[in-house]
Amino acid sequence: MRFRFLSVCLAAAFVLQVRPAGAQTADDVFNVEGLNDIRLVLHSSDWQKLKDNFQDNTYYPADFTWGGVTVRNVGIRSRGLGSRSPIKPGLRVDFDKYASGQRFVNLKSLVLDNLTQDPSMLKEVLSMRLFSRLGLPAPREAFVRLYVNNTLVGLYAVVESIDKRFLERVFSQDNGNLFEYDYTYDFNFEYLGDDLDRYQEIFDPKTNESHSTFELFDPIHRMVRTANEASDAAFEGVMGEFLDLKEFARHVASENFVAENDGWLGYAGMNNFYLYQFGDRPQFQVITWDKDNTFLQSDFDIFQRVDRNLLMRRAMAIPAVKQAYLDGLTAAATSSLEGQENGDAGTGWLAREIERLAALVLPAARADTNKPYSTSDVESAIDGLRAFARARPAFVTCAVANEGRPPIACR
Amino acid sequence: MTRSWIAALFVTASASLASGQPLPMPTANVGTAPVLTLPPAAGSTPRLDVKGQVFPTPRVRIGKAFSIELIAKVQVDVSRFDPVVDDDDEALDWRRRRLGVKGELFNRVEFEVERELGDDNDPWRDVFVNLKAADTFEVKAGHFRVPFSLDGLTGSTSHDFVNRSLGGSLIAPGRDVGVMVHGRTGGRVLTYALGVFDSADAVDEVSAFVDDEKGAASLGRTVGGRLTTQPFDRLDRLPRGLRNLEFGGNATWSSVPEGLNGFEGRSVYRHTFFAPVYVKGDRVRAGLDATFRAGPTSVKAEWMRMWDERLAQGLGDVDLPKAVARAWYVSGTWLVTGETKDDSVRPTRPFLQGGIGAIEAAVRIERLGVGSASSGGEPAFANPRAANLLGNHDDAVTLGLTWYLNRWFRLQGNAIHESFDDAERAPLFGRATYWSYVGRLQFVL
Repeated sequence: MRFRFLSVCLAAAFVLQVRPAGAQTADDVFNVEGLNDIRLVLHSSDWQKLKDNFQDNTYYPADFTWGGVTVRNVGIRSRGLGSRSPIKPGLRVDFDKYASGQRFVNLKSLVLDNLTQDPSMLKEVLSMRLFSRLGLPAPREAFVRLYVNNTLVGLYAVVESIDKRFLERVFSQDNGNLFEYDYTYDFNFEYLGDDLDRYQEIFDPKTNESHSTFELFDPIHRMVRTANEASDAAFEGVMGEFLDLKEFARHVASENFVAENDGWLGYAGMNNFYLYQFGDRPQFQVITWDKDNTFLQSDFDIFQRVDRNLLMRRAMAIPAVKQAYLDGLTAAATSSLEGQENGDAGTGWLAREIERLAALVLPAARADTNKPYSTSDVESAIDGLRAFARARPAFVTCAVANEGRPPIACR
Repeated sequence: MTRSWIAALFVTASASLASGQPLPMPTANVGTAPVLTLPPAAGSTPRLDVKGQVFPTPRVRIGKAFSIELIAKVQVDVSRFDPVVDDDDEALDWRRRRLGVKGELFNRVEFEVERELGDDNDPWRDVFVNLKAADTFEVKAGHFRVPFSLDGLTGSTSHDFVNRSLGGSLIAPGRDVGVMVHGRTGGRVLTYALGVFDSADAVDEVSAFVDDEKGAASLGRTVGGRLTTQPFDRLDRLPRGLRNLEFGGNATWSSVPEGLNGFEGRSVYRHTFFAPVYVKGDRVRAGLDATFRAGPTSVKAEWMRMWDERLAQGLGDVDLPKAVARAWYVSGTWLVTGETKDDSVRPTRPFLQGGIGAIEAAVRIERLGVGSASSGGEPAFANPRAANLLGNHDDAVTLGLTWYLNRWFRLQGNAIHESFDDAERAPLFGRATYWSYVGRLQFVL
C-alpha cells in the first residue's frame, strides 16, 4: 500500500511536471470553440489487437496527450454498442486504470466517440449543447482529432464521462446511486416482478458498486412496480416519491424536439440514458446519453411513441405533467430560435451552431479516411441538419399550439 | 512399471517353486528385509543370483548386472483458510499419486521412470537415464529438473514443509527434456551440474507461455548450471556439523517469447498478486544457497532472482527496464526426538514399534517480490507495459510440525501466514493478510 500511495503521488507529480505554464481545466478540454488533438501512444501490437478484438472490452495501456499535457499509462478499451468499429474504434480512456487516483484535469475517465453512426458527425455534440442550454443534465463534449502512434485515426467527439465528477459538477453531490442503462431487450417500464436480478440485468451500477443488491436495486424495483400498479388517482402522488414527473417530462420533450429515435422513447424500447438516485432523497433523475440518432426528421411527431412507454403514458395522463411536456417542447423550440433575425429560423441559435460546428470540423472530417462514409455524405447530412434547424421549431410550435384541437398539417 | 515388478516377482516365484523349495513369504516385520533368493538350477553354471524383496522397498536384483525397485509416493492434503479465497482450495487434495521404477545396470547406468496418476495433461515426472563414467563425470539424459535452486531440487517427499518455498516453486524452473553433465570431486567438496534443456512445454509450476501471434509457445532452450561445495567435508578434525556446511550457487539462461509471458507472482496457494507483464528477450535466473546441519537441527537459506528482458515492449515499442522477481527464505528445523537430520529422516523408534516415531519442528520465513529492475526515471504503474512496474510482494511465515511415524509414513501440519504489500492486488481485493492451515499424510515406498 505504501508503494501504491507513493506511486500515485509520483504519477500525479509526473503529470503536473509536464503541464504547460497555462493551467488546463476540464472546461478547456470540452471547449467546443476550437478543435484540439488527442494523441495516444500504444505498443503497436496492442493497437492492432484492440482493432482485431474490437468487440471485447480488454484494456490496453497508453500514454495520453492533450494540449501539451501527457498522462502516462492510462487504460484504453474499445467501447460502444452499434458503433463499435475495427477501423475507427470508439474508445474509453481510464486515467486511473493502472494508478489509482491518477486524474487528467480532475477527470477520471473520458469517452472518445468515433462518430461512425452519424454521417453529419455533429448530432452528438449539437444535441448535448442544446440540452445544456435547456438546463438538463448532459455531458460536455467537444471535437478532437485523434492520433494513435502519430497516425491520424480520425475525427472524434470527446465526451465527459457520467461519473462522480459529473454528478458533483451538475448536482453538487456524488454519493447517490448512479446506473447506466444497459440495453438488453425492448423494455418500456413494464413491471419485471420482484426478482431484483431482472433490474440488475439492465441497470449497471456506476457508483456504490459494493452496496448490496437490495440497497441498489430495490428502489428501482419499487419505482417500476409503483408506476405499473399505482391507481390513477394515486399515481401522481406516489410516483412523485421516485421521480419529479415534470422534470422527467421536460427531459423526454427535449429528446423529442431533437427527434431522438433511440432515447427514452426509442424505436426498440428505452435506451441511452443514466439514472441517478440522489444521495439525500429517494428520487431519481434521468441523465441523457449518446445522441447520435437524433435529428431524424423535422416533422417528428411530438407524441412519438409516448403511448408505448408505460411510465410516459401514465405521466402524460396528468394534466400538469402533460403541460410540462408541451412547455419543454416550446422551450426547446424557443431556444433553438434564439437570436434569429427577421423571423428566419435559419439565423437562429441552432442553425448558427450547425454552421459554426460544420466549419470547425469539416476539414478534419475530410481528412478522416476511416469514417464509414464519404465526405459528400458528411456534407449532405449537414445540409439535412440545416433543413431540420429551419423547419423543426415551427413544426413543434405549431403542433404544441394545436394540441387537443382537430388535427392540422403543421409544416 | 507395475507390470515389470509383477513380472520380476513372478519369475522369482516360479523359479523358486520349480526348484522345489518353499517360497519364503515376506513377514510383517517392519524394517527387516525378507528376501526371495533363486537357487541355482541343478548342474547349471554359472550361478544366476536373483534376489527379490518386498520390505522395506520392493526390489529385484540380478547379481551386479541389474536392479530395479518400485517407487510409490502418495500425498494427500486437507487445508483450511482464513479468509477463504476459493472454496475449491478446501477440498481434499491428492497432491501426489506417483508410481514408477528406478534401477541400475552394471553399476554404470541408472534409470528412473515416474508417472503422476490422475494427471492426463503432463503425467511424466522423472524419466531419465544416468551414465556414471566416473564420480567426476556423469551424463544424465531425459526429463528431469533443471539444476537450479536448493529448494527446487529437493524431492517433493523430502521437504521440511508441506509446500516448497515461494521462490523454489515459482522462480526455479521445473522439469524439462535435456542432457546434463554432473559429478563431484573430493567427496562432496565440489559438485557440479551443467545442462541444456529444450523447454518444449511448460511443466510443473512454471506457467504456460503464450506467443502473441500463435497462441501457445515454447520457452526455447534453457542452459542451467549449479555448483555446490562442502569446503570442510574432508577435514575430519572439525565437528560434523561444520563438515556438513554446504554452499551452492546456480544460474540459468533462456529466452522468453514475446507476449504476456513475464513472471506471475502467486501466493502459496497460487492466487495471483502480480499479473504477468509483456516480455521479450533473455530470461536469466541466479541464486545462492547455504545449508547447515548439526545433529537434530538444520538451517537453510536461499536467495534467488529472475530477470526478464522487455525489448521493444514499451508504449511506442521502446525498450523497457527488465522485470525482476526476487525471492529468499531462511528456514530451520529441529528433530525434537533426537534423530540426526538428513535428506530423509528415519525414526530411531518407529511408531507402534516401541516408540513414537520422530517429531520435527520447523519454521520458515520467506519473501517473494516482483517489480522492475529499475524505475527508468518514472513513477510506478500497475500496467504490463510500464517502464517502472508497480511492485508487490508476499511475505510468508510457515510454522511446521512433522511426525515421522516410520520410514514410510509421515504426517505434516503447517500454519502459513502471508502478508501482501499491495492489498489491492492481494488474493482478495483490499485484504492484506491471510492464514492457511494444511495437514498432509504422506506415504513413500
